[in-house]
Amino acid sequence: MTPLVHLNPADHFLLTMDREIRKSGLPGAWCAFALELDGEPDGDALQAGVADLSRRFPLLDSRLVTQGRRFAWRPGKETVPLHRHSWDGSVGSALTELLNGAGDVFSHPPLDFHWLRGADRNLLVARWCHPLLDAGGVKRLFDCLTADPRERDRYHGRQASLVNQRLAAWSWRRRLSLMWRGKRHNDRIDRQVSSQPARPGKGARRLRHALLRLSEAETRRILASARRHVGLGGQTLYFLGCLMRALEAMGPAVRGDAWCIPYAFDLRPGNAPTPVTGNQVAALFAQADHTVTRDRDALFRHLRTQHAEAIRRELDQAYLPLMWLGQWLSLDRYARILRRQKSGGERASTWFSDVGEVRFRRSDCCGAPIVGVHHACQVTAPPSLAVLFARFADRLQASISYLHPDLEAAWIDRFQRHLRHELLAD
Amino acid sequence: MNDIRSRLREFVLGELVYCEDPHTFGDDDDLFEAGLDSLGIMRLIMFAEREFDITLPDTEIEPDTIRTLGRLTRWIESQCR
Repeated sequence: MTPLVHLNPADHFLLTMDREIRKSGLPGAWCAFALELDGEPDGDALQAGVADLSRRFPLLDSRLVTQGRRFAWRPGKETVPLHRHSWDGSVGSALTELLNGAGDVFSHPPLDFHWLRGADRNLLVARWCHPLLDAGGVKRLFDCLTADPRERDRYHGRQASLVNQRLAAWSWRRRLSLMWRGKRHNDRIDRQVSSQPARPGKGARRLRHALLRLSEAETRRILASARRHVGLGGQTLYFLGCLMRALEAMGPAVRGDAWCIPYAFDLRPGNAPTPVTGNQVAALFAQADHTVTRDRDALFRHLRTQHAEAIRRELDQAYLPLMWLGQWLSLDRYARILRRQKSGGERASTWFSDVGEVRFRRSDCCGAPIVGVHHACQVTAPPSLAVLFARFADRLQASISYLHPDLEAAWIDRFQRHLRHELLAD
Repeated sequence: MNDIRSRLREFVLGELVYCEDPHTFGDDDDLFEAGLDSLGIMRLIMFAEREFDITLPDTEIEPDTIRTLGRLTRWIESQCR
């Protein structure tokens, strides 16, 4: 029998989120990464590429199983499914339809591809459940899929978890020391109650999607502004700050002391082709109270100081031993620790990610030029809102995933206007 | 100088950017092309400040200062004097 592959601590963390999302009446921690194609790709080449991925990465066609108190993947031998659909709607409705229609990860393939064929545009969507891959891994899968078959070997190397490697390299004393620092970081965060952008709405929740895409000229202006406010190393902090200010402009639905937003660090060195599978991230919280958030300059100074202090104190790594410990807890207990503040409220005011600049090694997918990328993800309720920043072809975009009816389309429209205004402000 | 260069090199190529064969990564190769990103730059600055016991002025953190290992080494070295 094929040996089981245990989830690494970061995978387990996201499995916990999968359970929490399902408790909100949604299908689980499903995400989508889509390539927008100008024209139709070569269907035979695409099918062959997906089959090749399945051969190279047996984990992609696995099933989630339990082994005692732990969770593991049982690798399969099938090809990752490639579904073909005709398509005449918007990208947003296509993505949300796929994510709202996903099944339980224990009984469905954790990854499938969807080729949506429109009159003038095509969309190739990777839909995956978050414990299997992260967005960085899916980007590498697309790189492998679109590469010349001879170039695919570079993605097929070591798939060992960087989270496990880092933990294994630390002595117990160091693990405990970091774990203690991570716990104190959480305790400090919890001194201020997190504000929430949404209250639970009436009726069944459904994921919806909106996209804020800036022009090349606007993106240049935003990057220059980011550099001026937070320095060359602070682009992610600039996006975080603008997000906090846009939320502040909307006014919190649940008023606390501060906005508190988790952000993740990819443990892979930039451009590293492997590992592809698993979650290779550590996480941290950015927090700013309402007074600081209302003062734009003060906010960016605060976020930069907070982040620099976090790096100095190695808090960017302190969640790794905490996540290691968490994998031994029940999913319910772990979820309470991850989500709930001591006050009983939700710790995260929104979900956030900066995917960074998305550059593929080839500009086409099976002969069709790649003209856009799209991201979407399911999210817990609360906070019912996730904002994912990325840059593609010199254009910045914020993909907004939100839960209706907790948040209404009109709210998202105004929120987008505020976010755009903040990004472009001098 | 050699010590600063080798410690920077080990950190950058071990943690921040990828090169299939690190021995072939030259002092003039572009770190941004190799994958150095926004949060990576901050980690690099914090590493240099801690490792060499210096404070790096924000105003000098420019793309040209840190674009290559060679330029980065010269900049850090000038701050150590």
